[in-house]
Amino acid sequence: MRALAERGLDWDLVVTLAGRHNLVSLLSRSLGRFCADIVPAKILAQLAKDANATAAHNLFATNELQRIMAALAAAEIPATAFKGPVLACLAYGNTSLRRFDDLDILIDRSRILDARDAFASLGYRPPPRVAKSRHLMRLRSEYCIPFRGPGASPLLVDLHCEIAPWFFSFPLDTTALLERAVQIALPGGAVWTLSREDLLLVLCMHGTKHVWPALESVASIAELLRATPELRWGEVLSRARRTGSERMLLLGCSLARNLFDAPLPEGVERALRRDVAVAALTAVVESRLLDPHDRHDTFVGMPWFHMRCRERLRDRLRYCVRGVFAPELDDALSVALPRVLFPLYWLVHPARVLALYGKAVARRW
Amino acid sequence: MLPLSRTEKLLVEELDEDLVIYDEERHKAHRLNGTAAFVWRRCDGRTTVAQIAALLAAKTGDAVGDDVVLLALRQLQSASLLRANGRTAARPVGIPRRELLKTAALFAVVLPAVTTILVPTPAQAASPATPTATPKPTATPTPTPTPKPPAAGVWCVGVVNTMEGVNPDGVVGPTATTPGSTVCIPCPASGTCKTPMELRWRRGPTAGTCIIIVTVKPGACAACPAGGIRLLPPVGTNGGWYVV
Repeated sequence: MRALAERGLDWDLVVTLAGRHNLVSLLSRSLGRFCADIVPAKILAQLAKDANATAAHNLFATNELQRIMAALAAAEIPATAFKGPVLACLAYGNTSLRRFDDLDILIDRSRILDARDAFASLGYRPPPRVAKSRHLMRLRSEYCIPFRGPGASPLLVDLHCEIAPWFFSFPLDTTALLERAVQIALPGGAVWTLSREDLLLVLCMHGTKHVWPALESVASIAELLRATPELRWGEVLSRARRTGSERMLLLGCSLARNLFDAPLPEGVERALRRDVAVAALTAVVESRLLDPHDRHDTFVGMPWFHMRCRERLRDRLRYCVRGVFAPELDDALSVALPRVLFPLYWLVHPARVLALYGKAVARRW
Repeated sequence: MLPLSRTEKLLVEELDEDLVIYDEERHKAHRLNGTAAFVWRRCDGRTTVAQIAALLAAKTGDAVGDDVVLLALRQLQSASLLRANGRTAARPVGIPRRELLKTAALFAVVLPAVTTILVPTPAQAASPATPTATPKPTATPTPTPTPKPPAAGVWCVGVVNTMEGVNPDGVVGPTATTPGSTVCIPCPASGTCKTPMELRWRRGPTAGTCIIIVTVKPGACAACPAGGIRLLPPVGTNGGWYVV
C-alpha cells in the first residue's frame, strides 16, 4: 500500500473512487495507519471528516435500530436485522467502517400490520400514499415497505417480509430465516440477525440484483468469509442449489477471492471450475468495478445480467414473466385501484414498466 | 478531583484507539482521540487526575502532566460526557493553550481532542445544512410576473448516481436530497434559478441511485419554460440530472 501511495497517485480521483465504491471509512483508516506521512494532509483530513460523518450517522442509525427492535420485541413480533450496522459489525467488527443509508428488518408477512403499529409508536411511517391503504401492505408481490423516520429524518427503514422481490425468484423462506436467526452484539445491545450461512446467500443475491454496484459489496463478503472460518459451507451450497441461487453465490465468492483474496474451501473452488459461466460473469463485473469511468448505468442491461446469473431455466422464465406482469407497490402508487380491482395491477405493471424502460432507452439514444 | 464519566444514553464504538460516542439525549456524536478516550475510560469516580495522568504516562511511556488530563476533562465536560458529580465537579479549567502545547511538545504527548460530529436529526434534515438564503417552499408562493409559469405539480425526475445525490456542478449538495428540503437547480432559462421547489427522493432502479422528484410550486418560477424546469444534462463522474 505504501509503495502504491509513494508512486504519486491522483489523490482527488482516489477520494472520488472511494466515495463511489463506498470505501471512504476503510480507506481513511488504512491510509491513516500506514501512509499518513505520504498522503497529502488535505486528503487525509477530507477522508477523516467523511469517515467521522459516517461513524456518527451509523451510530445514530444503530440507536434507531435498537429502538425499533425493542418495539418489535415488545409487540412480540419476531424480527431480524440484516445489512446496515449488523453487516458492518460482522464483516469489519465495527459499525463505523461501512456506510449504509437505511436499515433492513425482516419479519413474517402475517405480522406486517402489527409491525406498522410498532413503527408508528416510534414515529416511523410509510410514505403517505402507502399509508392510505391497508391492502397495499398485503400486496402479494411486494416484498418490502419503506418507513421514514420521525419528521423529515433522512433515516429510512425497509421492512421486509421477503428477502428479495417476488419477480427475482429467490425463495428463501422467511419463517426459516427467522428460525435460524442468531444474535450479534451491537453498540447498545444484542440484536437478532440472519445466520452467517443465510447472510452469505443474501449478500450474493443482493449484489447480483444490483449488478455489484461498488467494491464494498464485494469487500463485505470477503471480510465476512475471513471473519467466519467456521462457516458451514455444506449448508450454504445445498441451500443455494435448492433455491436456484448457486451461480449467484459462486459469483459473489469468485469476486471476493479475486478482488480481496477471500479464502474459499475446495468444495467451492470445485463448483467454480464446474460452472464456466461464473468466470465470464466475474470478468464482466470486475471490469466494470475496476473501470474508474464506469457510471454503473445498468438500467437497460440489468435484466440480461440477471438472467445469465440464474442456472435454472424455470428461474429465468419466472424472472421474465413476473418481471413483466407482477404488480409492485409503485404500480399501486401510480394508479389507485379499489381492492376488488387489484387483479388489474397485472396490467398496470407492464404498462408502467414499458413506459419506464421506454424513457430510459429513449434517453440513451 | 474524582471525575466520573457519563455512560447512560450513550452508544460507544471503538475505532482503533479512538472512540465514537453517540449521545442519544442530545442527538450528537463525538469522536475522542486516543488520549481523550483513555481519560474518559478512566473517569470512574475513584481515580484522581494525577492518577489518570500517571496511567497515561505509563501507557505512552512519556511523562504526562495533569494539565493534559485537565484539558481532556474540559473537552469531555463540554461534550456532556462527564457526569455532574458533587464530589468531583470537573469544573472548567483555564489552561493557557500555549502552556499545553509546550507540555505536549516537551513530553511528546498527543493532546486530547474531542470532535463533535453532526448527526442528522429531523430538524437538521428539514433544512439544508449550509445556511444559504434559499427560501423554504411555501403554500402560497410569492406571485411573480410570470410569462410562462410551470403548471402546478409539474414533476421533474432526475436520476443521480449516488444515494447522496451529489450533483457534479455542486449546486445540489448531499443535504439538498434530504426529503422535504429546499433546493435551487440551475435553469438554462434563467441562470441560477432561485425558485422554491419541494424535493423528495426514493430509491432508484439500481443500487446507489435515487430518483429525485422535484415539485415546482405553481407560479413560482418566472423564467422557466411551461413544460417544467429543465435540469442539467449528465456530466462528470457522479452523474447528473436528466430531464424526463
